[in-house]
Amino acid sequence: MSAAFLVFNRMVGTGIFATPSGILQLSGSVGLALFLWVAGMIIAAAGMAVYLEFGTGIPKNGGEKNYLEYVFKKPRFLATGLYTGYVLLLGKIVSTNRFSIDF
Amino acid sequence: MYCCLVRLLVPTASRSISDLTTGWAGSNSVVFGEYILHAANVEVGRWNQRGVGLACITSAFLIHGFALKWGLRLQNFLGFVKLAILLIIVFSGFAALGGAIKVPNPHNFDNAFAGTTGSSYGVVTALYNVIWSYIGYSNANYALAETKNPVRTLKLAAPMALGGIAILYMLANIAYFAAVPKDEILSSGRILAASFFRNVMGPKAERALSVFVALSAFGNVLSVIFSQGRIVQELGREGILPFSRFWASNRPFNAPLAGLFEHWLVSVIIMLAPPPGDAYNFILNVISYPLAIVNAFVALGLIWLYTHREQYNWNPPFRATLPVAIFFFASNVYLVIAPFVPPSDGVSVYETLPYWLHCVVGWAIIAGGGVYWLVWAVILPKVGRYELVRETSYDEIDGWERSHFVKRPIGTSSGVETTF
Repeated sequence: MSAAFLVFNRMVGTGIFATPSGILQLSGSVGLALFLWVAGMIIAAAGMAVYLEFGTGIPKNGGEKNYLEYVFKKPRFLATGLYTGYVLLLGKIVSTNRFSIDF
Repeated sequence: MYCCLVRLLVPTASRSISDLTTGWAGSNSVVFGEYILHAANVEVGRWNQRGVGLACITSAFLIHGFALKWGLRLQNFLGFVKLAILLIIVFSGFAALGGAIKVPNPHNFDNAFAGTTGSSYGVVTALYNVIWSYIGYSNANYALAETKNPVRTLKLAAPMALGGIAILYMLANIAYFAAVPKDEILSSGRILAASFFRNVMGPKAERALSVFVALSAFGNVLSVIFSQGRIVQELGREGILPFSRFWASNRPFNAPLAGLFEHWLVSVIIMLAPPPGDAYNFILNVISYPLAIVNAFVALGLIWLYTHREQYNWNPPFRATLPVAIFFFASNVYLVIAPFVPPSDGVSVYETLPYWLHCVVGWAIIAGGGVYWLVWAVILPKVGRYELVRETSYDEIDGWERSHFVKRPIGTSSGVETTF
């Protein structure tokens, strides 16, 4: 139960306070806006399953960087390089399994 | 619940709890600025919003750089504030549905599909914003590093959390629609929650609760900058970045000051550079667009694993299954391509920027990574006559594998630490 709460707390952002107005504006109607909230959830659920398979199969720090490195091995280190640019410039929604050892 | 509270408030009690990792420091700082100014009854303008946002992200940087323990306590406490606010919205939404509002019934659910857009640009952009609200789905597995039977717990906890959030989000949306007329929703923009509080509980509650929404945005800024600082540090430790030692350092306050500063700087630039009306949407889109590209490749990777089993020894304890992987791949391909279709009826997300800007910037960033790879892994080794080698070691504390890159001069077999 507390595990579910942890995942839960991680996933809730401020989007739910800030974006519903924009979504209504873009979709034009209350019905489509609500429908898109469901559609987005289904995509997120599929994504969660994919990431869970990788996450349990490759239990390492760094998330998708490792998954891409594991599958796309050639050209050498290309996945690492592409991913580094992305992380540095945009930031990554990230895990901190090991980081808190520093405390 | 009590145990959760203790774990959240005492940073050392729990190793992996410390990040809420949702959203991104820049966009959350903007939300913080708007709600704080709204609570203070100040008209939101070009510079005060940026000023407050800048103060917000700078305080987060300073707290995490110089007083780590307090930063974590604060961040975890604000996570609770965020959940409390969400629950208040949901429950007062029930009251609103029952007629307990201070304005006439907005009748948003009668003829609910009136006005539906025909623009695929509008639909895909809206979909991005929705998916962004669920963004933590990709690292559910990290929440459980310390549980005894992680895989079994995960199989139960992850869908439960996602389902719970989906229900709360739907109820929150229904709450907004039950209490706020459509025109007012459209004009209130990001401070929709404030309009909701006013219509249900009156202007005093509106200002007080706006402060709490702002605080929960500040909590997210703290958690994002916390984890981002550490990811940069980790890249430094692996020897991927130039000046790796600088980034890897934990000085002077046992916190990755350099990594935190890097994220602070990028956030501030992205927050201040675009025109103010467009800043929030541009930030959100320019982050989420490349994420769709990455996700398409991650899904493709899994499909590749399923179809080339003989090449990989792939036996994870959890299976997404091929149809789910294909669905996730197709969704992300759609999310990558659709934003290029021009908006037909003028529903561009931006006031002044061109509608495709975030897509082009997104691809440019990925391409920038390609250039970096070319210099770091191809050209420099050729010029310096060395070979880039990844060495793997196991962490003494958690047993997790970690790797770092070393330069091995051609013709020898021993590695030399990368220092650049």
